[in-house]
Formats: sequence, C-alpha cells, structure tokens
Amino acid sequence: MTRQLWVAWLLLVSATAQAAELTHFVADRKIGARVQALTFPESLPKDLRSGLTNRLLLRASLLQGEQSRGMASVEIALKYDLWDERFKVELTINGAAASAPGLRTVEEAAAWLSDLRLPGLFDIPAGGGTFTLKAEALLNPIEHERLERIREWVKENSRYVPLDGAARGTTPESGSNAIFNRIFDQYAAGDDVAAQWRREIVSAPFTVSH
Amino acid sequence: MKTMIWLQRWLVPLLLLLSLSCPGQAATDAETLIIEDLACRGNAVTSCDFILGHVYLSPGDAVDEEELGNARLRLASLPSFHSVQIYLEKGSARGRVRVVIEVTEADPYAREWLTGSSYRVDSLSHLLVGRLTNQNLFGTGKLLDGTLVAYVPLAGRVRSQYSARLQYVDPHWLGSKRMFAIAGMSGGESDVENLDDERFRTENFGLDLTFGRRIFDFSYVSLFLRYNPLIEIDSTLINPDGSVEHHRNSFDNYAVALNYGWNSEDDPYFPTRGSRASLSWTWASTADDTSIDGGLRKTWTTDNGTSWLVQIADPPGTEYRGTVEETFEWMGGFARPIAGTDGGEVRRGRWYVLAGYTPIGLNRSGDDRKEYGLKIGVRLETRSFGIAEFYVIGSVLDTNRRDE
Repeated sequence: MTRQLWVAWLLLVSATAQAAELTHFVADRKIGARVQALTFPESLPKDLRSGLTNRLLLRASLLQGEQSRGMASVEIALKYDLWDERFKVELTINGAAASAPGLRTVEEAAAWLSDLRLPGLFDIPAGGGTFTLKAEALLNPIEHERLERIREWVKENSRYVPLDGAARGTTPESGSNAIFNRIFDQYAAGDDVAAQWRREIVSAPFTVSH
Repeated sequence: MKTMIWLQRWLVPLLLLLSLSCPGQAATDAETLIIEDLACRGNAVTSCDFILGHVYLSPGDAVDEEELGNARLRLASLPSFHSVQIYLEKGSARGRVRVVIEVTEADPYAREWLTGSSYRVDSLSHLLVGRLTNQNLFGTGKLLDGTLVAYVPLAGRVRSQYSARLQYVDPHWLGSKRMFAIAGMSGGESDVENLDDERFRTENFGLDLTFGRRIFDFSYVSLFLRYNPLIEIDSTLINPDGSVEHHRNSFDNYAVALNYGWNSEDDPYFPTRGSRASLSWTWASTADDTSIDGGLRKTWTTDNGTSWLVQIADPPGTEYRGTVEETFEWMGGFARPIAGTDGGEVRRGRWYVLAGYTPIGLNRSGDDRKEYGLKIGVRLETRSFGIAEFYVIGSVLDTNRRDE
C-alpha cells in the first residue's frame, strides 16, 4: 500500500512538474511574463537542429477580471547555423527587437524556450489592481493565405478514396494529417493564425500597484 | 573643370552609398543557402521520386524556407505518412546544403467496416460490409481497393445480396492533376422478393473502365464503360389475374454511363458542412430505354455542434465509387459528435438519428403504399479497426386505399 501511494505521489509530482506555468514580474515599471515548462512537441529538438527557422509566437493579454487591459506579442525566431554551430536568435517584443541570449546547442535552446523571461510586455494600468495574464503560444504559425494555398493543393491532389465517399482533400487520420486537420480546425473556428502546436496558459491572479 | 566639380559632388556620395549597400548585400549572400542535393529518409515503401514530387525545389535553387514548410504540409496531408520532417545537412562547401525529407510511413492499408440490422416492412436482415484499401500502391499513391458486401436475410420476406468488387484507381491518370481512371471487376448475386410477392434472382459478373475529369472546385464528369459477360436473371412474376409466370434469362451485355458529380463536404466520414450530389445517364445494350439516376445530400452544423443532414434519392458517391448505405428515398436527421477516448483507441466519432420516407407506389389492388422509417447508428474512427459503423434501421408500411 505504501509503495502504491509512493508511485501515485511520484506520478502526481511528475505530472505537476510538466504543467506549463505563467507568472508575472515587474521591472522598470512594466509588467513582464515568465513562461515555464511548455511541453513542446517531441520533434522540437530535431526541428531546432534542422538548419531551418523555427518560430514561436506568444500572444499575451493582461486581464482585470474579464476585461482586457492590454495585449502584447512576442516573436522568437531560432535558426541553427550548420557551419558556425550556433543559433541565430531573434527576439521581438511588441514589434521591437529585444536582447536574446547566445545559444550554441539544441539543449541550450530547448532550456531557454522552457523558461522564457519576457520583460516589458505591459504598462502597469493606472490605479493598479488585481490581474491575470493569459498567453497563447504557437509554434511555427501559418498565416491564413498560405494555408488556403495548400488547402487548394490538397483539394486537387488528395489520393484517398473512402468507403463513404469524400471531399477531395480529406483523408482518414494518420499521425501527420491529424496535425494537418487540427490546423484547418483552428481556421474553421475563426482564428487568424493557426499552428500545428498551440498551447494556452493562464497565470494565477496577482496584485500590482501603480 | 565644371564637369570635374560636378562629378566630385555626386560621385563621392554615390560611392559612399555603394560602400554602405555592399556589406548589406554581402551579408544577404552569405546567408543564402544553395541546394546541392535533395534526399529522402525513412521511406521503405514510398518512392523518393513520389516524395520529392511534393517539394517544388531543385538542386541549384536557393533554400526557400516557406516552400519547404509548404512541402512539409503537403506531404503531411497524405495518408501515406505518420510524420514528415524536413531538415538541412551540410553540403560540399559552406553555403551549400542537402535538403533531407525524413518520413515515417503510415500503414498503407485503410480498413472500413459497416454492420447493421434491418427490419423494413416485413423483412429482417443484416448488412455486413468490409473494405480494404492499399492507398499507396507501388509507393506512388495509386489505390487498390476491395469491397465485400453481404446482405443476409434472417426472417420474413427475402432480401439478400452477396457481392464483391476489386478496383484499381489512378487518381492522376497520365500524370494529370485533374484526370482519373478506374479499372474494376465486380460480381455477385441477389435475391429480392418485393411487396407484390414477385421475386428476382440475379447473378452477374462484369469488367468496367471509367475515365473522368475533375472540373471546377468540387465537380467531376466521367464516362463509365462496362462489359458483363455473364448475367442470369430468374424472375417470378404475378399477373393481374393472379397467375404466376417464371422466366429465366442468361445473356451478356454492354453498358455505358455518363456521370456528373459534386462533392463539397468537409470530411469523408464526419461531414459538418457541404453537399454531395450525383447524376448518371445509363444506356445498356439489352434495355429498350436509357435510365437516369441521381441523389443529393446536404449537411450543415448549428452552433451547438449538431450536424443536420438531408438526403434525397440514391446516396451520392464520389468520382471513385458509389456509396454502400441503407437508406430511404427521402431522409433527414441529425448527428452529434463523440469525443475520442483517452487511450486513443477511438479517435473520433458521431451518433446519428435519421428519419425517412419512401413512396413505394400502387399495388395490384390500387392501394398507395408509403414506407416510414428510422435509422439510428454510430460511426467511429478507431485505431485498431479503422472506420467502424453500427446501425439499426426499421420501417413500417402505410397503405391507403385510393378511391379513384
């Protein structure tokens, strides 16, 4: 029995450890966000090493109750230089370039992405108050027009013939086209940007005084 | 002298501008990667040519990250692969790279099962349908598709059918994006006793070819040619005076059909919006007249997630095949989604309720007969069995005496 409880506790601890966390901090009279333990797809290390650009888009909002008190966007572009064997990192916060760390290995890049400290996202609202942060993270987002072009291609080129007949461009789900369908679903739900990996995190309420 | 002064005045800033722009240009050139080679990894069944056919870049081109991203999505849309990754490897010199497309191939076989119990008017029977498709034949995306249908009578009026079909489909005949071709063979036997106590037993085997073209966004036209070397019909007819007639015919024939179809549904098994329609005109060498068949289905979804469906006449198929489905002439109803299970055995599903009506017509006594029924079922996409559908369908006969 003790052993079962021990195993259950371990599972609980490991599950808790993997949960993404969003917390705030205040620096230079501005509210920043710390995003920790985002569970990225398993393919991330390979994607980071691909020599191609990987983009992470974070869209954050500062909420007071249900009311939005500010919006912020963060863009991270990581590209591994196969010859220099280091990452070129671009960090943009609210459209302005921000300083980014030098990263040499995939492990360093993954560690940085799993504990992002993003300063200066929001001005502290006049009068202060109790707030929550909400952030949506999208890995390698795809804009609507581009996906429409691919959708058109799929419509013309799908090769599958289901028993009950099908629209061209739709297939029973394999692992990869499940991802593809998920992207389409996001657009169908009215989103302006979609991605094959997407997470939403909300912080605990916090109080900030002006 | 004046010219020299003029040159000095303009040349110096020009050179300064050039000197400023050149490092920028050099930096861009330094970052431009040139493709030396494209390679495939992980493809045991699928040919590399087929994979690279989805990547619109060639050796000598600059690496276009957007195009590589699009290629990954294009490949990801195919049922042939579980996962697709594209990455670069160092080439023979700095700035020259090999583009590697690494795939994990999916099971090329798709399975579908349909089973339903039917009590319609006064006939109890059971439908069993199984289908196996190799959707990546020769690693080139061609299809080999086999279907078995068994409609087993259990009690009451006889309604039985046993049939099989095997077909090869080339969705891109002659390399065309819009042309398709199908070669098939099918055969079977059926035994049907109608409400007027007439009985028809049919045996048939035939070979067919279809050539078609997809047109506009969702439509297609096709020409269907079939040769039936064997048709046997054994019929028992009741004459108006009540006498019974037996006929037995054995012959071969040809049939030609022109088809037009439309399919804008957003999902093959769980449509939430769109429509599907088919219309075919058929001529057979042994028939006096031509025949026209068709059907229409429309689906839409309301805000609460309920999908609604209306279907008229034959269940419309697609450019590649007809639909195996037990229906009424007029049908309407709704479907609700079923979430996937935690373990992933059931990926998604829906349950549905459909009400239907079929006008049967007059019997020998001049009574007008109408069939009213209900179909309730569940359709699941499962990891182990593919698509599986279960249903029950039942109906009653409404007979009205016609005064005229």
